[in-house]
Amino acid sequence: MNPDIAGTFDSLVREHQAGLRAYIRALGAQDAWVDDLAQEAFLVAYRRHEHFREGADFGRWLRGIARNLVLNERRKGARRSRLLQESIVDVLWTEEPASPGTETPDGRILAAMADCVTQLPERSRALLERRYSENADSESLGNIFQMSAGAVRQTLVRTRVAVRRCVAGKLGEAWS
Amino acid sequence: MSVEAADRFEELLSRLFDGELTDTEAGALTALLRDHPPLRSELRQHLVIWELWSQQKAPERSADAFVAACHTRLRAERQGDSFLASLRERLPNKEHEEQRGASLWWWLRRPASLAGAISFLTAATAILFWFVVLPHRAVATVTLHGEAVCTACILHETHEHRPAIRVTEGGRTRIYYVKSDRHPFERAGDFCSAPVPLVVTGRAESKDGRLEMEASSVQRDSAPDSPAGPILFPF
Repeated sequence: MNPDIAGTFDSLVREHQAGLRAYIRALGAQDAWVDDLAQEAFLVAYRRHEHFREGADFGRWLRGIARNLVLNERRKGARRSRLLQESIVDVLWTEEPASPGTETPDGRILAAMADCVTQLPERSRALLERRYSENADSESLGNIFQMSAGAVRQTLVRTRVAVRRCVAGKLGEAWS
Repeated sequence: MSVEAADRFEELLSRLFDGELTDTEAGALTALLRDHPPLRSELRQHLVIWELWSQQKAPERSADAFVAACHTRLRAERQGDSFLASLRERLPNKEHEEQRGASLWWWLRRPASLAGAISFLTAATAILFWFVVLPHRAVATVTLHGEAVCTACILHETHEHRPAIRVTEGGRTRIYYVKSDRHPFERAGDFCSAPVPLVVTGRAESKDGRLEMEASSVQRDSAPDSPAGPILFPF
């Protein structure tokens, strides 16, 4: 690999990976397949870097590639295991613009989230941390926190709803 | 939106994030999203928020891990064969067999190779004989310059470990499946570990496009002196 291209590719991946993965998830990818699809998008971008117009918005171009990859998944019908159920994906796509929209403000969302999470009760915050850092299911979290699996699920969903509301409130119209 | 609808949405959301949403529940969630457009926006926000949170919290999903995975896939894609070659070189106790494979590959690729030309002419004559001169017969006695390969380990076509003869000439590869005793092939070399260069004489037969060989003579082919070249992979 040409060191210049490799270096540029590396910095572009670092810059855009978080927002691209969030974008792909919002298009209906299953959580387990988000990274796979995002990596494919970067590989396609790498292979076709000569088609990228100088001065254009790289993030937008990348999202266009990712969008096409997800679109291809949708066309696979019954075999499209990398996406959520067909009906949900269809609904998610009803409001999807014909071309990729603005970049996910991942930095601002994360800053708002950090702020919102600190406002949670300690147990809710700890549950949220372990749920994602250890990919723990409700049963094992219940054992750790001495709660029933049902209570864990209930706490988690209420925590998620509260955090989303808090983040949306902080970002306001900037994040529709 | 009613309290019941909001509660149901939260319940289904929980199932979705746990990866336990059934098709029936997916249908119920879809109906809610269709009936209540603000929920679509909420769902998208949930997907984005918890995706970003997961990237932050799960070490295997960190930015560094993602960049490393991209590089791995890029390397694998761009270096394909050389990546495999490098891997194979590191396998223990294979050097000798690999060198033989490399020599044979170099030899097979030499257009001016006298032995190659003889082999090609022999094979071409045999084929001409089969299909043009004696179209009613599909049997001929031939001498093949090729390599023994295992139908299980290398060709991945059978469970039983049987020798086959792979002959490559003029960019085409033919496989002759050995019908006769496999022991002469085993004595010539371990064809399960790597291709073994051979000169095989016997009766070749074509059955429904499948080439079969009943070998009367199996000899190890002494490859000409050649520098180390690209490694011939059995897959």
